[in-house]
Amino acid sequence: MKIPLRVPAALALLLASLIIRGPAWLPGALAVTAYALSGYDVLWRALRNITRGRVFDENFLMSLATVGAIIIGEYAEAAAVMIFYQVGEFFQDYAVDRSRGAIADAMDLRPQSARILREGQEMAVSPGEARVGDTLLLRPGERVPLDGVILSGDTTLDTAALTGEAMPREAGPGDAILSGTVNLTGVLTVRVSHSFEQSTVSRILEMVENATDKKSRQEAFITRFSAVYTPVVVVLALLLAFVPPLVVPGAVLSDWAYRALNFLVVSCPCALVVSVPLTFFAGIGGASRAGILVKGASYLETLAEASTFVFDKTGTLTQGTFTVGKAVAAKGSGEELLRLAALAERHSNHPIARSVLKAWNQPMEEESGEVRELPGGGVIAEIGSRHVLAGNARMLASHGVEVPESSAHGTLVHLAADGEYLGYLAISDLVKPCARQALGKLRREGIEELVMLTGDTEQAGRAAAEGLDISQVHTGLMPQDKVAKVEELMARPNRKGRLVFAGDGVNDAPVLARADVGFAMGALGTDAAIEAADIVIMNDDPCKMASALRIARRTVLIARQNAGFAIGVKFLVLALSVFGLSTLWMAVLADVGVTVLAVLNAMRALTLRREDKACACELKPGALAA
Amino acid sequence: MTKAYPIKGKVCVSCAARAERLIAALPGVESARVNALTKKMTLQAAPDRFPDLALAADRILRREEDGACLVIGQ
Repeated sequence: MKIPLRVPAALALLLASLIIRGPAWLPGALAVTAYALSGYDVLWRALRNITRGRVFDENFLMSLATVGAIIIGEYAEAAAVMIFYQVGEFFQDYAVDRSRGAIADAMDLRPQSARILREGQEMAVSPGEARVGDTLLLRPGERVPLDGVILSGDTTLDTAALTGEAMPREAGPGDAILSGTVNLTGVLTVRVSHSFEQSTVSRILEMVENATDKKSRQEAFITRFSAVYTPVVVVLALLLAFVPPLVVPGAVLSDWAYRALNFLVVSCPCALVVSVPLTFFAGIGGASRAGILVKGASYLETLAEASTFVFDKTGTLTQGTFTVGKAVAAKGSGEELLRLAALAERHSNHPIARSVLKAWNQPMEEESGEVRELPGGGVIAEIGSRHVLAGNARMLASHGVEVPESSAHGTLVHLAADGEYLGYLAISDLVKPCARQALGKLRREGIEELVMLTGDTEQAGRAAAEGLDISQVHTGLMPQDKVAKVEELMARPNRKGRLVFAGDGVNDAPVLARADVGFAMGALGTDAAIEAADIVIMNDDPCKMASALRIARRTVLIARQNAGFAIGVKFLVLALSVFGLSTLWMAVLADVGVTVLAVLNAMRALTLRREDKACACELKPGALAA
Repeated sequence: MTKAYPIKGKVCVSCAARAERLIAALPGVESARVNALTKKMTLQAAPDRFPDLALAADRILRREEDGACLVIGQ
């Protein structure tokens, strides 16, 4: 994008008109030439738009202001207003274009081509042409174009573009591989599992692009403000030009008209209208570089007002990978207990059930009959001729089985068969290495209330909360209880700020939807979480919550600065003009200057603090484990 | 039903805001968004109103901004 040559040429003419000495008519003639050269297109558009029924656009206002200046004999100022208006317009377009480019680049993980193997032939196709089931070839250093599963080869993957995570991750045959990551070391063949449109990269890009479709409250305010601002300023300008000369003795029309022209020059709300949405766009772009996907500008605003963070325990603060610590049999052997539990839970997808199956890890000959899953309770299964209950103490008790007290740590899966208590499995889950620091960071950001919700027992909940700086722990909650608890916290009369809920997104959809802002953690590759949450954290690092909070606050602050600065300068110019203290030179330079500064300020929202880009936790085994 | 259309050509942000107001006021449009930053218009309306409303929106956009138009595909 280039500024048309006639604008600097006009500027040269204008300068010449100011310094040249010659006949009295010469400076004026030069200035008018400069004016016509720089502004003929604006004048033309203004005329044409009026015939199309469009008055009060900025072409019209600038034309009115400058024609007015010429009528009262201020030729040089008319030319200056037009030239700087053109420069301002150019800069605004240029800056918006550049920043759009910068934001797009920051997010551009879109691969250009994919090499696939078809009928033994290696061929390069555009990623959109590859089909599910195709075999993809990847060399070291290449960006993965489509989601798939590794068929052969071992490698390390750089997932930074998706997660903001600097540490490479190991992958081998059978592992899922996501588009947007970079294959660092190995030569791989990959079976394509998702079409290009369904692949991670496309979905992320679409989400971030759509995020600016939801207007922030500030932008909505600016839109309303500017719809009123321009007509009001124009009417005031008219009054200012013609009323004082009529009522004030000795007032001169040309003097007051000149003051009114200042009004017209600052009557375009451009700087405001550009800079606020641009700030949010940049903030969303910046967050996405940190592996934080924000689904709408308004969520950044809401997050910035957060005072309470509520966490689901499992998978959010803990790793969510369970291991069976011990099997304590009240009757029979521990091995038999584990076998029964595995049979009962064999078809369940619950992380706890999967840990039981992993612990058993033997073929299961016996078929389980009818199985009923009780969310937040456990399972009831018919195994052989036996009626087996496997779940928490409450579930067993509600089915008339007495469960003895136990002091064991972790989550307990109690078993009973035909109404008789058999014993329990103690299952433990580790707190994420980052969790402690993450909560500390939230505290330092001024979050007063940190609440943990869990469906686990009191013991398991307290054990996990130990060492974490948690204000409230609520245990033994069924999924619907979590919604109720969140509603209760939101309804507190002394609540100051907004409530954020963070969960792993798998079982939390209703709570994510109910909270002011819902965070889905570790959502890379899970559709349900992306669907339900407002903000998605791609890896499962809890530190990112504090990063998201900081980015949100900073973005909102910058947007406010821009709006306040632009409105403030305009009102200052208006006030000075009323008293005849402003010149058209000042007015136009103030207007263009504000636009430039506001756009530059908006771009600050794109930059990240180092700490927010990747978390500075000491170690993170498991933080990246899928 | 919501549909998105890419915008071709230069769009100034205040023109976009004005076009958005006018398009949102078209009878049958439930909501409209003209996004100058992502160069995209999003239109929400009943499914049977679509081709017509998109064309009407295109006319408004062309009038509000020289050289801008919607890309209306299939």
